[in-house]
Amino acid sequence: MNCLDYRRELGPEPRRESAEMQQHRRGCSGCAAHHARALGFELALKRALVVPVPDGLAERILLAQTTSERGDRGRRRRLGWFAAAAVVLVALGLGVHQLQLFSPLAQQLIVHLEHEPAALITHTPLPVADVERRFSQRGVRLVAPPPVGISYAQACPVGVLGSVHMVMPEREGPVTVFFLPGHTEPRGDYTDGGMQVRAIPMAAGTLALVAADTRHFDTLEAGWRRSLEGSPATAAGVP
Amino acid sequence: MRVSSRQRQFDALVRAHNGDLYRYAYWLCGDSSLAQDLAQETFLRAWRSLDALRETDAAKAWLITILRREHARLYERKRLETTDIGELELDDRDSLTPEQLGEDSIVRAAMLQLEPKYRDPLLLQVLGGFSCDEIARELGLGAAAVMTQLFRARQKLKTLLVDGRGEASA
Repeated sequence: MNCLDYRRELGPEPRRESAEMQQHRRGCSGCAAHHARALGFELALKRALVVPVPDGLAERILLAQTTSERGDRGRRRRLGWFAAAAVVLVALGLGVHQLQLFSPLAQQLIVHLEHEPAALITHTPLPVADVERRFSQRGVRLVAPPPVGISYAQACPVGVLGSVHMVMPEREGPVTVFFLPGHTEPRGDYTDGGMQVRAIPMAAGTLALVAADTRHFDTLEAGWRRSLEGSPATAAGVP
Repeated sequence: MRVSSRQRQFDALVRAHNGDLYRYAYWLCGDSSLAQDLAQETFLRAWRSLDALRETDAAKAWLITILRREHARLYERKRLETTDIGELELDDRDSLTPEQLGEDSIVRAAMLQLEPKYRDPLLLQVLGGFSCDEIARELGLGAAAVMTQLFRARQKLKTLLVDGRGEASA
């Protein structure tokens, strides 16, 4: 290393010397003097740059931080209360909804009809296989073909109950038929909102008929009993 | 009151680095109250992302990076005016001789006249104690470019000092 190399390397970083630079400086009085001048300049520079720090700066910063943090915590706490209130409201809403779910079956069936008005639009009879498929979706096997003229069939939930929801157009107006497998409802006739509802325990489930009047109910009940339970003898377990 | 470990870490960070950060901010903006605001805002931002700080050794560089961003944001909002050197009030200089105090004033005046591209790396080196490679990373420059700027910064500063001493003795 020569003097030019030494000074070129010292220029940008006067406080750092490599071993090679130190070796050169120890053998070169000119560069040793240059090094001493450079360090003197660095000391003067450092002293000038180290301006006094205002008293209490750290404390003011910490105060600002803790104040801001408390504010944030307060906001978070308020948000927490809002969240808790929202949870309570949701729970109440769910509770109300649940009450609807467990309201009387006749009422639930009519509410369900209101949610599926499209079920009443079509009048074209469905293939028997389509109807059987909806029953099999609910784990039910028909023992005989379903009554003719079913224009709509879907596996729908009614409240918390699974059902096969069907529509059978009649001249006087459609009759909606629900079969609720696994749910036993006492036999009964109900009126709700101008609609007639008949619940019939059948084939380890309940058949429900819904219409504006009851004139087709007896016929349909008999027909569905044959489909779900077979002939009276079959239903009684006679081979 | 129970103090969280996060709060203790932050306290230590503030106490260890508030001086360096204030001084660096001061030489960036040339204004004491603005420098205090910058230092405070830097630490508040640091508090919010304290979890990002993994190594103690990296704390100073991390804080300097935050401070430079804060300063850049401030600069975007308004053009900063530098303080006249005569306005500086130094209250802990009792141990220095009048000659040294005079010399410091001249050096400070010269520093404020340096272009930012020379002043920035010089501050990081002298005040921050960063190496050329660290300064290069902080400024997004190559190491060779930083070395050139540091070399020229000192040359320019020495020229300004000669002029300043000439004016002071006149």
